[in-house]
Amino acid sequence: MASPDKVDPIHQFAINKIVDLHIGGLDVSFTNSSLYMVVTVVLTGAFLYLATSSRAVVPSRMQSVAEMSYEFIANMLRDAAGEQGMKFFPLVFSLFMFVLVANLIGMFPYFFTVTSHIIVTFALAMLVILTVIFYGLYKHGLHFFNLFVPSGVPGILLPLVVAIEVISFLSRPISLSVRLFANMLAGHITLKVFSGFVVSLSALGVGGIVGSVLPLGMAVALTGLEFLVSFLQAYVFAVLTCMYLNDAIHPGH
Amino acid sequence: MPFARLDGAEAPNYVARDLERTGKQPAGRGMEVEMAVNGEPDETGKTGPHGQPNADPRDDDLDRRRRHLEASLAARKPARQEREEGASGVTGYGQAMKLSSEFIAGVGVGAALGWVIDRFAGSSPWGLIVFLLLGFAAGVLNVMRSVGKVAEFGQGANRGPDSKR
Repeated sequence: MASPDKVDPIHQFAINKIVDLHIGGLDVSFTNSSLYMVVTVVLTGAFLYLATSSRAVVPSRMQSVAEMSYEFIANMLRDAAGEQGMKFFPLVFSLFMFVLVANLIGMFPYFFTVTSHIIVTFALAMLVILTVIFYGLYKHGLHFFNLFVPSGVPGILLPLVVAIEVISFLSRPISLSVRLFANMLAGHITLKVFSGFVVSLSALGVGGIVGSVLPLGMAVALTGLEFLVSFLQAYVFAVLTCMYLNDAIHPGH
Repeated sequence: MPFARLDGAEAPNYVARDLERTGKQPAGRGMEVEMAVNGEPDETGKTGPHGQPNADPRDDDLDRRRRHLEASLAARKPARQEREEGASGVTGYGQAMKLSSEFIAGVGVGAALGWVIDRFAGSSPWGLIVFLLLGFAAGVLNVMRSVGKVAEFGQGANRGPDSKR
């Protein structure tokens, strides 16, 4: 690479402190990541508020989008967790909108992608899993642990199977967060690398400029793919949340 | 009478909806299922408390037409979901990402658990060894589960619509 400061695919994920804050020895500085989270929340809230402020029987375009997103999540949740799952609708809808809007904001050049940091996605995943565990225990008590005991397993194998099931359950927040984080991270790095090729190649003169058409086309295609991935990952996150909530609502069938 | 048949035969809602989701039945019968589903309480709850499961769907013309519209909309839904699945399958990359993260998460959690147990029980390295192997098994289980080869959590052998919940 010609000059590492020019084409540095990792640079876009750097965390910068905007307001330095320390409370009780904890670093709670307001960073660019926090800023973009606030922007995400404000944007989502403002959009939904504006879209639903003038409710009409024949919806406007914005209202239509808001209603579509509502219907989308409502159907998803009802399919996965049944009618009882609808009490978790606010959680699932907020998660979906947050992830989706954060992903889409990250698609703007020079913007920060909140979901490309594993700690953010992990916090979201832990929120889901803790909800599942606490609601499951609250609702079903110790019966909730039937989740880990598959039916029809011979008694001698039971400890082994239960241990594997427990590990499998514990790995859920990890895989949930790693999937979202890795997709966003990999996508943005790839995009940056291909865009970097365009810059490096076009610095080589006429032949380079002609050659740089290839990575440019690739970058354009990847941008489209990244938009798809943004939606898809938000969707996958929401679907898996619904599935996990279903386990909390109906453990051991 | 499609309503009578399904409503009488099955518990409300879930089973019919499952059938709807699998979307594998022939077109004519699928239609009936959808209509039965949408003849039942369903509908979002955003319009407030809604009718009982056995509310007569024919009491109001407008209501019936609305239900009919929803039925035909619902009939299109499985196809749409199918396409979405297809889209994620076509990328292949997404599928690979999904499965590898499932597997790695299993192994990682197993190793972490073993390490923590060793640390507190002083049984090094046995905890790590045992739990790494268990984690490997859990990772494989995760992968099998996410491609639908193994029953979901807390369920028996077969993964039909009835055993789903």
